[in-house]
Amino acid sequence: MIEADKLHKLFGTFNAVREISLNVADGEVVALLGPNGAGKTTTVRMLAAILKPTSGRALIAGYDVVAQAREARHVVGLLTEYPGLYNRMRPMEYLQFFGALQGMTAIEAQQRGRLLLQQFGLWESREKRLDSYSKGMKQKVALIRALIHDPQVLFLDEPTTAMDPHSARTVRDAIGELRAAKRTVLLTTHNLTEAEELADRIMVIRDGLVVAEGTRDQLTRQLMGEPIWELRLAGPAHEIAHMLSEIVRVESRGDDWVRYRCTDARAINPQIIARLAAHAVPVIALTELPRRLEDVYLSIVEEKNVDRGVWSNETGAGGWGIGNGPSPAPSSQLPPSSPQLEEVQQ
Amino acid sequence: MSIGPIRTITQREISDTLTDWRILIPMFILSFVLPEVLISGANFAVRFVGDTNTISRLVPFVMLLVGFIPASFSLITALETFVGERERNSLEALLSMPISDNQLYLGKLVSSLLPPLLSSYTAMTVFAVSLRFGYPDLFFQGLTFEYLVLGFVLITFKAIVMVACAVIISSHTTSVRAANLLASFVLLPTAAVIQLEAVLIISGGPNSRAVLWMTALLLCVIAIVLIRTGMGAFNREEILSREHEQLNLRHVGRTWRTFFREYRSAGIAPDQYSGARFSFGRFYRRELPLLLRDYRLPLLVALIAAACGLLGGDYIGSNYKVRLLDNYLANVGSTPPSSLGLGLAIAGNNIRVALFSNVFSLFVFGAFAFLVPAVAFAQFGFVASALSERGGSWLELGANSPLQFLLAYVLPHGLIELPVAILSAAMGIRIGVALMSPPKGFTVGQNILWSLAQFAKVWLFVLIPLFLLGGLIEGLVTPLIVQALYG
Repeated sequence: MIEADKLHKLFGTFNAVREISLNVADGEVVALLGPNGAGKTTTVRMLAAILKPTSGRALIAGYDVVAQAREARHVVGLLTEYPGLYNRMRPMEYLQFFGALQGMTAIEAQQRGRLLLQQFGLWESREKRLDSYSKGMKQKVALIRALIHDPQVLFLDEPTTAMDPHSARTVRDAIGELRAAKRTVLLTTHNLTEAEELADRIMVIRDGLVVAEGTRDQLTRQLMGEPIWELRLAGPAHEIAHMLSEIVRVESRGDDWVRYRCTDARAINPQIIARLAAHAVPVIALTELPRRLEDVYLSIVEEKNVDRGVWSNETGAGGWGIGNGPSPAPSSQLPPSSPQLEEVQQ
Repeated sequence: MSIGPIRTITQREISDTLTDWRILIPMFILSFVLPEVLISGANFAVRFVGDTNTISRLVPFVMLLVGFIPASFSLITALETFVGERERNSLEALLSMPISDNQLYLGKLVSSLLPPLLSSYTAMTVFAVSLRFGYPDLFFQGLTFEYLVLGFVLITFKAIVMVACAVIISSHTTSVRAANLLASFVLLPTAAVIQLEAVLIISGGPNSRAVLWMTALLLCVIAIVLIRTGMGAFNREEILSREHEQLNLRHVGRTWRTFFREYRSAGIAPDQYSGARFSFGRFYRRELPLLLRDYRLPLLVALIAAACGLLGGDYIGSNYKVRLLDNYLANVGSTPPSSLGLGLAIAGNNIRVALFSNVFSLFVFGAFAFLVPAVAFAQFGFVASALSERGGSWLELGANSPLQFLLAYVLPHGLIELPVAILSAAMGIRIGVALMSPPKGFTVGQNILWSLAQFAKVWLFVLIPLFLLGGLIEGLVTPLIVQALYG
């Protein structure tokens, strides 16, 4: 549904987007994650046929964003970073205006607008002017504006930026509904929770380049190694650690706990439990240590030497897919910036 | 082009304007209160002066003023069109709509124009009706049907010119503040037009009205040019990608040097230049012919300016007695003695005029450059025509012969200077329009730098040598021919 091949955008001498290639399948939600100035918004603007790429090509639902810009704009719904509403209007007037520009008749726009306002819980406030709406409500109206013509593709550019948690939650819920409805969505954000919660796949971009791509689990595994499990015992752990090291790689241990990594928890953990039971070791808990996307993200964006390489789920564990960039840290090592690492290395 | 989206945008903007009391109240005051205040003022003036005739001559101008003040409101809304939306973050959503740049541009233009223009029409109508019933003497003495029509026509074109300019400014700036600062480029020429109108109306007479009609026609042409230019220069991409107006002199200098060293047609980005150093051989053999070919349109406009000048001079010479121009006639037959100093002084003057008129053309959309050939050829037209009126013949030589004047005063050096003047004007006209219509692939800044770089090359390596040659002929040869022919 969205295909971009080596998109590049130069503003004067500034490379806003250096080279971005991406594919988003029909019904897929992809999050474009990156720090401020990474090139997310420029990428979205190129894909929405507002900016012309300096080089490279992009197709949206089969339409070339340069040669068939109007057609491409017609199949796209764009939620901009700021709602930017016409505050003097009422929501229905506003939606009818954009509906008309999308080629809808007044009745079509009204019917669709009514449906969406009801769906997003704004029907009761339909008589109020938009300037009296809260931030969350305004962003919802902007989202409805993007949906008014029932587009095949949705671009959501930092939809919850500068919103209070409650408003952000409201908007995230609304996006969650789109995901459930199998819309093709490209979401740009620097909010990790949002990306984790809403996206099927995450692409991390930095300095106008895609530096990592995959599902949350793939990225976590590739950048932070295999999952870490923690075994809490009712008694001392030092003897147990020795026993476990025959089966798994023990990362660290305390007085009453042991942490280890294992590739195949389904096979390994029952063996460990069985062995502990055989030795009558009292187990309190066996849990997987949570590894936050934030750690993965920081490990990617703070990596200084990734410019020429692309970390991809297609390249195999720990491999640099493209270019001659230096190798990343081995998968068994956590990046120094990671809070998890500090904890494990105690 | 479908007008549906234009209508949609216009309706929304007008509805927005008409629900804003900050705009509505001043418009109401200017449409209904101001005309009444001015009529009361006129009544007071009549009683003060004690002469209806004197005051009645001011009435058409006051009506124009009554119409102009609400029309000037169009500047406020027009300057906001794009840059205001950009500042309020509502522009991106609009730019993402499947409508063409022209539809978007025209929608904004029409919506900025209609409310103030309607307010102007209302104000002028209120003024005329109130005057008719309140002070019929003033009405019938001051306002002819022609003045009424002229007033509406002038206000319409003036408003369109102002709005077209303001929308161009709004689509090429990054903040409302910058747009407001640039608005002086609109206000100054408009103020000049108002002064011209005042002078013409107060002086009265059929010729004045003819000039007012010409002014209206000129404003109409300017309005069309500005709208076309605005549509040509409008680029939704640039509006969003322009982030700040910081001046990077080093980058500007580098870009200008790139354009200077090597000739490529306008629209080819600097990074696509080969980076070759400047070469005289390449410039004269290959680049100059290419440049002249690319400058076909400005050359044509300069030729039209010259033709207009010639015809205008001819018209004035055969219809009017202009005291200022009589000096030309009085001096026909006389010339300063031939000398190298005279030639160099003439050449220096021509070179200076070419330089300043072209560089300053940037600020007046090429008007200075347009005026130079027009004025130069108008002088020939005027003298030749005036000589003809004195009984001189185009077919035989003699003191009053236009043919002899042409052979003595124009041909020797004019064969070089006049084509060079046309070329110089074309360079200036290109500089003047650089601001308004950057070709595809160029930003406005790049377009200005490109046109300045081409002018610099042509001025240095073509105009200066040829003006020197022409000046030397004019200083050394022309006086001899004048003496030989006129004795």
